[in-house]
Amino acid sequence: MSSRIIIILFLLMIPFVVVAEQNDASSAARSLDAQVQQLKSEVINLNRDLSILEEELMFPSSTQVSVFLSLDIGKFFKLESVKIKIDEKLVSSHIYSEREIQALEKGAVQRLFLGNYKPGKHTLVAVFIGQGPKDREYQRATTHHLEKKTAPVFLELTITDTVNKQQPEFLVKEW
Amino acid sequence: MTNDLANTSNNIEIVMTSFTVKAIIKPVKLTFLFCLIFSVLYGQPLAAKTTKQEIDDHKKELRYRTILFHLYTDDYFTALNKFKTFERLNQLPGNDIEMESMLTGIYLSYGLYDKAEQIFQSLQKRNIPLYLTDLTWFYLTKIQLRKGDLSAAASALANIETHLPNAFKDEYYYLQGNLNINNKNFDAAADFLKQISKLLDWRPFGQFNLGISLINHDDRDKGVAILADVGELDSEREDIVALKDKANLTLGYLFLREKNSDLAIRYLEKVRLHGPFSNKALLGLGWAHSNNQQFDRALVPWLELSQRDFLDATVQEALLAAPYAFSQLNALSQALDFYQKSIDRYQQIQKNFDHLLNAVSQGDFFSKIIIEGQFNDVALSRYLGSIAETKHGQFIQFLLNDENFQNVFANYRDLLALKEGIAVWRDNLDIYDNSIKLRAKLFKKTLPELKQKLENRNQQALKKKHDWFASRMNKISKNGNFVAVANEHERNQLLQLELLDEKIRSLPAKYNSSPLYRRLEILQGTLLWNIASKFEERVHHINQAMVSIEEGLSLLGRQKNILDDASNFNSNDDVLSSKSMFLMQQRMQKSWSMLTQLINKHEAYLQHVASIELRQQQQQIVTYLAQVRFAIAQILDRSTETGEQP
Repeated sequence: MSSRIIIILFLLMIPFVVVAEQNDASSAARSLDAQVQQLKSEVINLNRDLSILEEELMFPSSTQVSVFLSLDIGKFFKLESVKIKIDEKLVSSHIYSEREIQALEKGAVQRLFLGNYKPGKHTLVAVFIGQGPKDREYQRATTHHLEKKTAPVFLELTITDTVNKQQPEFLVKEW
Repeated sequence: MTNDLANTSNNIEIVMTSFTVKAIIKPVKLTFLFCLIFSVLYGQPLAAKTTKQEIDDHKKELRYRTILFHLYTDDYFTALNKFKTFERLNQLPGNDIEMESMLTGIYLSYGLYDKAEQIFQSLQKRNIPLYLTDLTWFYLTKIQLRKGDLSAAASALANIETHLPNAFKDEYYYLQGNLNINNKNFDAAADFLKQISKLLDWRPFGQFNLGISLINHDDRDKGVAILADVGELDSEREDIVALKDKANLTLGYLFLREKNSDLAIRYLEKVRLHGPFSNKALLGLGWAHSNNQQFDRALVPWLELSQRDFLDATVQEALLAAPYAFSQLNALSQALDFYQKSIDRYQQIQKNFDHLLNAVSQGDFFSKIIIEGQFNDVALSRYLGSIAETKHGQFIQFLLNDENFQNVFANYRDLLALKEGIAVWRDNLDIYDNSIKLRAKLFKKTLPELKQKLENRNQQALKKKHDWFASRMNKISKNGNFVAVANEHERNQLLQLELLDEKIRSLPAKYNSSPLYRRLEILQGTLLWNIASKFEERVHHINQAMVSIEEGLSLLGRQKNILDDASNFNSNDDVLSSKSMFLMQQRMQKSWSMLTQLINKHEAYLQHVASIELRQQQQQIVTYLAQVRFAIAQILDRSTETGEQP
């Protein structure tokens, strides 16, 4: 009966559980667990090699364009969704969950887009939708002109606060 | 019958006897460390003017922070895959120790404890900061606890000195408290638990464990006092409220066992009516009133309980307890009715168990639950929480209460997700393979044509022409030769005026040509003035056009380079890519087979455990049915003896 409590505790992230009796079932479970750990490691290495091959084949550096999004403070703007257009074509859009926003607020960066563009001039338009100062609906677009050469292009979109204006600011930086 | 019912209610008492120390590894905590590392490593913004090295470093930082995005959103597999990919491509920031710490965090989160342990052990042999040494011992403690090796866990914990980051200290005291509880050093445990700074984070759980252990080791009164304090905590937080419920439930059943029904009622009534422990509390409350011979009061919780989900064992017991209370109140007719209804319910439960056993034996029962629950919500705790809402998942809640079953089920879910991932890769690789072949074909056909076209354009000649023109423009601009930039219409007008001039000159001398000359001069002057006034603007436009021509020539050069690269790529790289893909396909095939085998083993395990549990529950229902029929016979006997109509 005590084990019935465990699941509830586990769900609540309460960090103690019952030590199960060392019976046949538990030793079989442990043996399976060891096999799973080994196989997981192998599959992860396989996935790594596949990802590298995919990038080499499908996104060569001569045409590669990546778009990233980061938040810096974000006090004056609560991001809800974003759309990315390159050369007037929608290439990426994302609606954010609370967990994703928290991740961005903690310093994580989201890669919004990875694609191929031929060398030359291109225009990126990012549309940010969310809640601005005083919880008002807020939509802002920012445009960036880029020239693709033979090196990969990293574009970082950053949402930051301008304290003087009490407004959010949307920056695009090319790396 | 009373004894049988009382025995079933005593099940809850086991709650108090088997709690001991073992901590779930909580990798989320490690994200704090990442934040710490992150802020130290990358907290400084780049200067406005950046060098190439700084740009490369920033690109690495961006990649690193994308791993954090997946980690913070509980997408551990993607975080690990990205980490390994960037690591292989040397695209991660250079601090090895910090990166290894991060990797262990992801390993722990994804359940690769052995890998994490290896890195922790290797880190300890190196010259690492003291706080990291303590932190590695801290996590090694938790890994040993997960393995169930309490002695190794205690040894690892003893190695921690005084450098553990503050954010981990409360949990450290909690672990010390629990390990001391396990060794029956209750005073030491209490001292450690007192050092926990946040009163609602770890301390109540440690206090709960301490209270339980004291009760089980002959210091009942002290244990009861501690549990009573836990039961009175002032908090609305869900985990704390659940712990309060559990403490009150435990005390309720303790007093029930000690035949102190009034105290049992006092504590059981404190348990929330709709919390996770409410069913057990309602059952116990009924028995407490029943022990006081207050069967009318006992009926209230039992009737409420009998209306709940009958897959719960307490509800099944209530179907027997409620009519028992009616019979004790001499309400024989209601008791008989209720017993009859209970028979129907039990038979329905049996049918459900038959159906469930049949479904389990068919093999895809658990995969259906996984599919219903979706793969992508990877945080296990949230995933398990949502299982009850799925069509099939509600039937296995009681199975998931077993730790082994839960672990195997979680691994089974991960394996299915890995297999699904490989299936996607297999499709993608086919597409890539076709793309490469198509590209090779196109190259073979179009490359020579394109190269010929480019060669026809004779880039060098064009460049020479451009340079000559640029030099000429330079001179025109320098000399202010505005006539040179006149447009075609203006040049025609100038030409016409020259022709007119010639015509006037060729007129016979008898004509007075002076007025004509004056008019001609005025026209010429006006035209030249007009042309001169547009000189600067025209030079500017021409220079702009020159820049565009220069860019066009440069693009032509780049296109030629790309075509040259493409020619080289065509011959060698496609062959290499095809070979790589062939090797990948072989590896995928191998992993696929191994995954299939292991998934089958997991299914077999889950089926086996589920079948045993379901059969035990079925047997319990058979026992309940026998008890109901015996109770009905008793009522009918009583009515026959007394002559009353039931």
